Amino acid sequence: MAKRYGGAYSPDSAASDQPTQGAPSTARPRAPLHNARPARAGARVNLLFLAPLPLVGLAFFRDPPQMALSLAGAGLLLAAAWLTREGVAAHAAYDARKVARRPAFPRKIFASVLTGAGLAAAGLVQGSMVEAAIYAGLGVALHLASFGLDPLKNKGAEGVDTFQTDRVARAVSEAEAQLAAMSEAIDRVRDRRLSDRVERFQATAREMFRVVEEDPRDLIAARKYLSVYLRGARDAADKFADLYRRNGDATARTDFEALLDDLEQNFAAKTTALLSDNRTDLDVEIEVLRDRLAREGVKMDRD
Amino acid sequence: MGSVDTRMTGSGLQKTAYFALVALILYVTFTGGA
Repeated sequence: MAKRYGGAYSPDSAASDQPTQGAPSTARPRAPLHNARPARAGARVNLLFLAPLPLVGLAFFRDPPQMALSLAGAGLLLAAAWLTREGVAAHAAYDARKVARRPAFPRKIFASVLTGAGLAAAGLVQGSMVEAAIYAGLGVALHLASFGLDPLKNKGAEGVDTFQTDRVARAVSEAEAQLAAMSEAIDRVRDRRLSDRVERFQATAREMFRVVEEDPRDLIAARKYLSVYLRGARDAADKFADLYRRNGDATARTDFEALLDDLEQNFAAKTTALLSDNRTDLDVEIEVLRDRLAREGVKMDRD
Repeated sequence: MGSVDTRMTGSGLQKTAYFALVALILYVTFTGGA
């Protein structure tokens, strides 16, 4: 018989010994990285920080004007790399949300311009103006081709006034802050199973965020969940982490896990309810359209 | 859901452009543009 490998310190070993603890009985099992996406601002952007660094060292073996140009070029290229990272992260955040405003400051486009300026400065050290201009043009074009433009349009805000979307965005970012504080508290305990458990609850909560973002009218119904319950969960996680770190109280842990189960079930149920509201909306829409069509038909008969 | 986002992970053109950019920066860094 095949048996899953696992030792005493494997992350899931305790859970498989006591199948009743941890996961709520009704929740479907979820992969740990469910809905997660790899961060785009990874190694590729970091290499942009490394590439101009030799320029700093080389600057000190050159004449003063060349040194100034080299240092200016290095500074501009490093600033461009930093802006690129910010821009890629902002774009990822834009993609993750259903409703998002375009960034107020187009970081990636500006990073392309900075890259061009940095290359021009570095190219002027030995080259002519024409050569520097060619490097700048190439740099801008290549940067734009590899990182793309920033999102230039608002997303998902059609037909909904900005006041409503702003309210939703604010509520969601406050809720995200509570989730982050909760993770921070639980990470203090240094227990991987607990961290996983909290992450699973957070994934359920985030599903609700996405539903609310999709239909801002749901915010009124979900408000209590996004503020009161999440704040309560955060406070509970904080107090539990302090207590459990001090004395490793097993009952406190069971209680906390039970609380997470309850919260998760409630959040999931509310999310389903919100979605079925949308379903009702759809039904009404269909009904109204059908009625109107039928009336048109009658009118045509009369004509 | 459903569609795969290939903006930064897949596209060959973007990867080529990226490595060309790094190479350009290194070239200009070491030659001073001459």
